[in-house]
Amino acid sequence: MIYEKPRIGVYICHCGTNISPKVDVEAVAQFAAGLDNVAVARDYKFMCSSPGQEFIVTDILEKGLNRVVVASCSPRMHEPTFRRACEKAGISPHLFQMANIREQTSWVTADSVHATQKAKDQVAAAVSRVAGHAALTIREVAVQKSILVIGGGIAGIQAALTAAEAGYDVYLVEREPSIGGHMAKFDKTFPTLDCAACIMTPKMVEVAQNPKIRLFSYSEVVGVSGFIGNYTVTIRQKPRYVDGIKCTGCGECTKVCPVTTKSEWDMGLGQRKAVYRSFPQSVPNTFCIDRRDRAPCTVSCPAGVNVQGYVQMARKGDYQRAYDIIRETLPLPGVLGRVCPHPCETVCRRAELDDSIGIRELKRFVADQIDPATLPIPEIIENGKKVAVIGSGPAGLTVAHDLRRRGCGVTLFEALPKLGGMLRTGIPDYRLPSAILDAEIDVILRLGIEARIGVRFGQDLTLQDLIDEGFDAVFLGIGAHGALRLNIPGEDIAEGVVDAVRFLREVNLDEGDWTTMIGKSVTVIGGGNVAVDAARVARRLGAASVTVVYRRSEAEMPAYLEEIVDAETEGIGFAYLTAPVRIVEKNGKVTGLECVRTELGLPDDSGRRRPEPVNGSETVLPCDWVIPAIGQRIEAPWAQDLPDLTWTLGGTISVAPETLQTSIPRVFAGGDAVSGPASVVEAVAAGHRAAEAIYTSVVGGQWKDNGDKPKIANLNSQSENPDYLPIPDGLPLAMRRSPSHLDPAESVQSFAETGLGLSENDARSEAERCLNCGSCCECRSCEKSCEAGAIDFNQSEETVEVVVGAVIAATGFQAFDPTPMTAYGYGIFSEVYTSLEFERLNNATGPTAGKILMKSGKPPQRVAIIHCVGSRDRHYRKYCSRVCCMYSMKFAHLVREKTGAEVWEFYIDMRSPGKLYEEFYNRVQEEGVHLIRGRVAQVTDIPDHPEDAGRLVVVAENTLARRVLRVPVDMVILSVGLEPAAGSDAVSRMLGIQRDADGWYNELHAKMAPVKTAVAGIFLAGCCQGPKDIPDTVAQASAAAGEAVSLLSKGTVRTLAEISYIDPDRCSGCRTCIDMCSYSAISFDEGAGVAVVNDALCQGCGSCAAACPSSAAGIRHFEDCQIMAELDALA
Amino acid sequence: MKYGFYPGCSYKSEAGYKESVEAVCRVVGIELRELPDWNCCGATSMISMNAEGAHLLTARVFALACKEGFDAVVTTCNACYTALRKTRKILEADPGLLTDINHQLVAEGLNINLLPKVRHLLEVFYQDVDAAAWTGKAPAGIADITVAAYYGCQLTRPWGDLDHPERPQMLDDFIKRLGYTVIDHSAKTLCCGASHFFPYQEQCRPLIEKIIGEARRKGAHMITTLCPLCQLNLDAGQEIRKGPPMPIPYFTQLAGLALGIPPDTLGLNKLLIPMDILLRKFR
Repeated sequence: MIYEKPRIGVYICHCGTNISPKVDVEAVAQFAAGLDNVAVARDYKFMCSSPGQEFIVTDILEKGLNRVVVASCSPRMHEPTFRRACEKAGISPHLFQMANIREQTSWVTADSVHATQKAKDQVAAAVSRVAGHAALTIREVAVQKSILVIGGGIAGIQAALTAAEAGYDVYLVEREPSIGGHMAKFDKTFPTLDCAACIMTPKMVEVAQNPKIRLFSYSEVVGVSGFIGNYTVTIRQKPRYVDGIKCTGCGECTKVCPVTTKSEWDMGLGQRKAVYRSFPQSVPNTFCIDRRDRAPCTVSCPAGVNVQGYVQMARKGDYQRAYDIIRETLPLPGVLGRVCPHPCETVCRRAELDDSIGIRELKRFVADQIDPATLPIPEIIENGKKVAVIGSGPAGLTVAHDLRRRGCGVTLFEALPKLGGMLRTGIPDYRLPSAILDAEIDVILRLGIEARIGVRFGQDLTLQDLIDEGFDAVFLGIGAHGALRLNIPGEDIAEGVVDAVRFLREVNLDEGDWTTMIGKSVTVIGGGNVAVDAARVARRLGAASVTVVYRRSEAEMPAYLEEIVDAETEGIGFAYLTAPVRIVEKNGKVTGLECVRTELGLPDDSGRRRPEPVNGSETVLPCDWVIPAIGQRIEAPWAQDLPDLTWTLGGTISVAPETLQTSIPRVFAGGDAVSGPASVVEAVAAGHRAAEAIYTSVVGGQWKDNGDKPKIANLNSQSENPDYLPIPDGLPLAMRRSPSHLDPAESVQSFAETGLGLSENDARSEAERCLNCGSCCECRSCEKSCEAGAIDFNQSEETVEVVVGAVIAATGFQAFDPTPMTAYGYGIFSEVYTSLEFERLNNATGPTAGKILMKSGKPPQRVAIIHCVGSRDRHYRKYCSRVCCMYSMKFAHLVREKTGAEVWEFYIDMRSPGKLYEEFYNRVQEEGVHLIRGRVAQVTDIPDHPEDAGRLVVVAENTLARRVLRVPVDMVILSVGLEPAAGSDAVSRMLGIQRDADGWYNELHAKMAPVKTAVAGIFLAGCCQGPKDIPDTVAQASAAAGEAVSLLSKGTVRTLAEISYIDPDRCSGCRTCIDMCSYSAISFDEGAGVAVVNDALCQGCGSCAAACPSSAAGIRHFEDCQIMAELDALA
Repeated sequence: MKYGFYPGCSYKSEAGYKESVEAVCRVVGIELRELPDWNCCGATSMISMNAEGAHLLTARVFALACKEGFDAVVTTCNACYTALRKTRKILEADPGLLTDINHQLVAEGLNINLLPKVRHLLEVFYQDVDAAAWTGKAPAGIADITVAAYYGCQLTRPWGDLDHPERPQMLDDFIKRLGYTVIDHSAKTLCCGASHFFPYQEQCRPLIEKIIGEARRKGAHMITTLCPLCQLNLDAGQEIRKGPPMPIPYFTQLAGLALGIPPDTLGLNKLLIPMDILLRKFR
């Protein structure tokens, strides 16, 4: 670059009377003329005017100026003007500097001598700085001729249509399922009383039909990057679970959907189904399924049963469908409906309100309504593989069921004479009648499963036999049928000691002679469910007295509380804090159990407090029978014949946790044999996982011995902050229905089932209590009812990226929530409404079909409308919301017209500026509305006169009449103000635009640039910029579209020249700048080991220059030498 | 739990307040140590006539608490509560005034070294006492008795920190905790007329009517209060009222009944509107 000595022109503006006479402009010009490098200095009344600019152009051309300083207003106001003048005369716009002597000096300095001195200093600084300015490179880049509109209210719709009409591609993003925003919720619009739908819906339809507009409904913008003309926008589309192309909008799905919840569209005054459409004229007219996180009951079920689904079907009385839903993941509904430990009930959210739902009893009720013998056998497509299932307990039955349904040939091997495993031998008939078990096993066998009973693995049958027989895989579901020993003296006495596992098995299988127990005294040792079962069985066999001895206290007892309670009602005694020491005998027969009292010490490994014997507290409990029930173990005498099978230290079969495969390839195991004694539902869960693994590896051909293990999808993942349907306010409490039980005196006489189940009425009421946490209950009734086949439960969230040249923000507003203003009684008194609620009440498609009715169904006789609720109130929103006076008067007119009720409007000032607005105000006055100037103090339900009981009294001061009014009314409408829409802060951060103190988006200039923002290429439309009515919104939206089109129509835009650079010779490669850059404009050149700026992305913020430890990063036009020169002149 | 107790002037003469406070505190393990030689708080009247004198009067109570080593003063009266809190707030914000007052208190050998907190006994019952201490002893049938909680105007206002100033909930929750059925109503913080009842009976009667009428409309069997002035006004003010009488027991009396303390020990016989019919609901 050739060095050119600076020749500077300085121009001092009077700005009419704004700068002069406070600043002596002539003196400043004179002073400037004497500064170094200044070739000419002038003052003029309006530098920004045409003759003013002409001075600059002429001087540059005639006097050979190469630098210009203007001392006038702010650069935001006129820097572009003067830069253009410089360019016009042929010098770079960056060889210009501005001194702001208006905002910074004349407007804010009282003394004119001081003001003049300050202006001189500013001019000197600018002159000093501009001498060091360099001409920067200005580049032009091509723009994308497309526009993003965020928000599908009337503003977004209008902007989108205007831009599309001009031929630009428009992406319109709306987060709700339908476009339309607030305006579509209104009935009439002021002041002309046009029907909102009539003027709105044609535009909505146009959006759907315009080929230039691509509508993303139920979607949100989640990322915006890039720069003017080239913004990359990331849009997240939430799944509707309804195919927009196939859905015809017929609404059959809503008829069958069992889930009802409050309609957000009707502001909670009406109801909608889980599958819904906001309103009949929705655009798009596609239904949407409100599917949230799966309900906690479903998530907590080890077997993954869709609990909410079958509870809803039970509520509807569709027991067959309820049964089918249970059976999708649970082959034994009637069994689990009786013996499941119901972890689902523990997590039920209804307990936050009153009590959890009786889910297990509902399952039993449903199962009892269906005769398993009537179930159709599903079609099975054989896959030619054979699987041997050893053991017919819940794990084995589940594996057999799952694999058979998927086409494997399954053979069940059972050592005992009957199928069912522990379900058969461990659970007594009074809890689980064998007929129920038989029927459900039959259904499984009917799938075409061969059962070989009386075949004991390891004795009658070896693994080699199975391989020889051609089985592709083996499942070991052998359970835990051995009893743990007490290891106390006397345990091996011939007569009178029987372990609980054997005892229950023999009684259940009708083996052995147990009449010997009649009239005898029995002691059971242990605290688990098996102990309680043994005790209750002994009681039924005729034992005169039964005592359960447990070494800890009741609180630590692992048996289910309901079992303990039932046992107690049957007269079974419990001796807590009692530990057995030895069994006492006489002539080889048990005569008693010597026990010692215990005290609880510190917690042991199980987390329970360890019982410690109290010395000298030994006593003998006389009894004829001792039944130890202290735990079970796996019985596998064949283990030594299978040395390849690995066992855990705890004596269970060792398996790979993901696949349940044992150390022997193609041999899987699950249930108690792997987990140790656990619940039935856990065994079913293990069965599902094993079946999945066996199928994947054996049929799916994924088999590699011990290598590539098939992965099992996690059935139930719980998100951290689950999104559930909120519990509705004011939901009446409803106590849980309990099933009736056999009379204890009668129940101990036989093995008849003690629980009698719920009655149909109770079951339906119980199901009615369900809160539908997940909203959609996944019953899939809609799927069946949809003839178009539009329901698609496999949809998932999609992310779409589009590139646009400009963005129009039209995120709108939300209504102020008046709940905190308790004096107005919103949320306390049912007849206090917000204005948006009243709009719905008034709307032909609203909850009352447009009739203005109270909750009682009657029309009101007196209505109060309270203005400025939340607006013009320093405690809430200090600004005027602009639309409330007019819509309040619209309400008054509609109430008068539709009901003839008396209307009392309480206002602070009546604000009706606008075309035909004042006329509307006059009309409402003439219609006999009482207009009271005064702020309402209180709305109370305490009547002043008995005849007003049931009404609300509005207390206010009538400031014109100077007296306090107490007006009894039937209905109160709160004219709530407007505030920025929820989430608009996130959008502003993404776009990099500013918000004001109230949260509204800042326009570039309040008067001259009302739809532009400080970020080039981003425009504003509608209420996101501040409260405004529909006419203003539509005008502004058209303007925003016009600005965007005008920007893009040139096809190119100038890029910013004042951007950063990194000197590669100085860069140390520390990458500090890369982390600092908000625009991802800096990348790292691995080859050179230095950071590199992408000129197209850099926004010139300067963060990198400030952060760079080696001063390699700098920013053009804000070089250190330039800033220092400016400061030096001031010093 | 030990607390410095400022009973206030009307405490001892009131209808069973003292008896019930003492009986309940004994059962739940609260020791209220009456400040020795305490004086009148000046209530709301003195501060509007002679602010300086009122501050000194109240400050002396704080100084007594300091002398006894209490960091909080517990009251049973809303007027005392508000008078004490008002002075405390002024002294907290004006160290100069506090110094002046301390100079005056020197004559008695007193000094405020740390401004004690001011607490209402309800707060202590509700927040400091374990919730379980109130349950388990209630007579059967207690849930059949419907109670309207009445807070009066001075407990929650102008402070608004103890509870919601317009729709407070603490007394409702406490009474619910005891086992009674609590009725929501809109007269919780309406003024009962307070000390104006004697000079301005005409004007005060409608205030009482409003509170009692509202509780009755909402289905309450009784109104419970936590201030001697409220209790006196609502109880005695029904003298010439039309309609069925409404008993006005103290919250401490209801607490006592729920703890199984005999009615006579709680001074229930001193209420002008008797509770006998209601007590028969206890089985």
